[in-house]
Amino acid sequence: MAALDVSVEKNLRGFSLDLSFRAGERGCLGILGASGCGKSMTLRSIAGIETPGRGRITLGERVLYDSAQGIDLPPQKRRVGYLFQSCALFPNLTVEQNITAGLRGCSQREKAETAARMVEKFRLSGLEDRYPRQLSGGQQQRVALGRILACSPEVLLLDEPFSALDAYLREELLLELSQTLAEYQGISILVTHSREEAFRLCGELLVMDRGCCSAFGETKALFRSPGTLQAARLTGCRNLARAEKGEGNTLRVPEWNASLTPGRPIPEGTAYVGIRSRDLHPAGEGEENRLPLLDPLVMEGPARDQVVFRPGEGAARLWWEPGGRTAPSCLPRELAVRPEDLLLLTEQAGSR
Amino acid sequence: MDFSPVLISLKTAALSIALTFFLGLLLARGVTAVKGNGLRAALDGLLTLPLVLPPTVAGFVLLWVFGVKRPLGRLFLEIFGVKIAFSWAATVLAAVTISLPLMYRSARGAFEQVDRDLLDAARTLGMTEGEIFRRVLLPNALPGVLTGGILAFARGLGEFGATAMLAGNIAGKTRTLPLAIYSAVAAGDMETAGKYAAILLAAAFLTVAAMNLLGPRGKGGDRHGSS
Repeated sequence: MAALDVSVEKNLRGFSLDLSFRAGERGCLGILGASGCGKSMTLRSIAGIETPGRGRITLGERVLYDSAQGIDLPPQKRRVGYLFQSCALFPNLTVEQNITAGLRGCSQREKAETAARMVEKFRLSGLEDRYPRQLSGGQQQRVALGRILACSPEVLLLDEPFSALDAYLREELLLELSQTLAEYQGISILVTHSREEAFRLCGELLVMDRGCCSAFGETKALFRSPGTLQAARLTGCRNLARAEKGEGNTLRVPEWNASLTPGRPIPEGTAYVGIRSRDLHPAGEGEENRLPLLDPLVMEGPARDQVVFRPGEGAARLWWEPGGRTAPSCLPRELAVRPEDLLLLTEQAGSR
Repeated sequence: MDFSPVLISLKTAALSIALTFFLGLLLARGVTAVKGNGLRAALDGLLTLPLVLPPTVAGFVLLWVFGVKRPLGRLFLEIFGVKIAFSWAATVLAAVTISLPLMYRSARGAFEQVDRDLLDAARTLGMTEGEIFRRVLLPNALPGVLTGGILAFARGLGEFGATAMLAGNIAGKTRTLPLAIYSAVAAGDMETAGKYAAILLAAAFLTVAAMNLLGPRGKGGDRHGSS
């Protein structure tokens, strides 16, 4: 499989997009970032429906865009499929006509065969003659995917495919899409602001912060060790604080009124420390990295309870997610975190 | 009653709407596709001008351009042997000039209402720009486009000022219904004027009815099934 090499630069409002990455080496690439960080712009540049100011985009041997050489292939010639958030089905065409809309240079019979294959693959039989407005959100998305895959693109771009859906539908479509992606032979990129979607669908992950790459790596490794403050935040770490190197191999965290020991050499440039809420646990006998549990407040949740507390007088609030479904009725007096669970973070990528 | 104004008006309105409709569509598509903002604004202004200009002024400009002693008018006369000013063709030219801005602006507005994602999706699917226009842009802009066409037709049918300037008021040749009403009133024949006016009034009613039929319909279709 050819790799997709992307390097784009563009001035956006208030910041500039400056990103380089290679997709297609470890399954679906996820681009995770807050809204407005330039992730959709990146995707649109790859598809050719937006022009980056500068850069180079190549797909294997094929140059899709190169500002230095003045190459800018029109979207029609890129063979890049794009799943829009809104699905962008043509309202005036039926399901079948939508699926075959992009098929060119083939006979009516071939078109019908392709349509039948997609209808079968995306469980749309019986809906061929319906119009998009007569379909549910999930069906619309399946038609949109079928329409894209009917053209057998070399790259599949997914732009926040779940953000317009309700929670129940989302779970179901997440499952379906992971199957579709597993079968898909080409390169795929998913843009999302949801860590859950990124974690479940993507083999590798690029965390974006204001137009730049803040972290890039294998998804699970990145969640284990995000490296930068922004990556930790976007992968769902809620307890984050400034940290200074203290005596020996310790980190002083003034906001938490604590001194923590990571049990490994502290890398140069470490400016923040993070603890995932589920990595906290009641402190055992003689355990290190203890945090007193003061002013606790139990927040009941539909699936799990959370406890908000302060690790000291006037200290910043911390979140703890106890292991069970509900918080223990008798809260411990002290919590602790295992040294290896302490996230050591730099301010920005490259400053390490 | 002399029926020639009715026939002339019908002929003029029919031919001018045919020209205006397609010209307006092409111009709307062309101007939307122009990349430079300045050039687009200039073109847009030029095409809108006849809408805000007093029709007599528009007619004066046309006369100035197509008059037999003017370069363009002489060109038509010498090469095609056609005299434009004060001919039946002039009624069409005047009606097209005055009604084109309505068609152009309605079509452009309708095109801009179409979700950009649809066009981008069509491009990434490999559809050519021509195919996109025919299968995506036009069908999804159709209600607005047709409304524009009806408005332009009504405007062309009622055209008076520019027609009087460029085509004159020659009975049986360039005297359209609005001019015939004016002439009848000037001659003190209120009865004939009333009959002509009634015909235009009926046409106006039909226009409004047609627009309401095309206007925003209730969103048809039920939502069936679930995922």
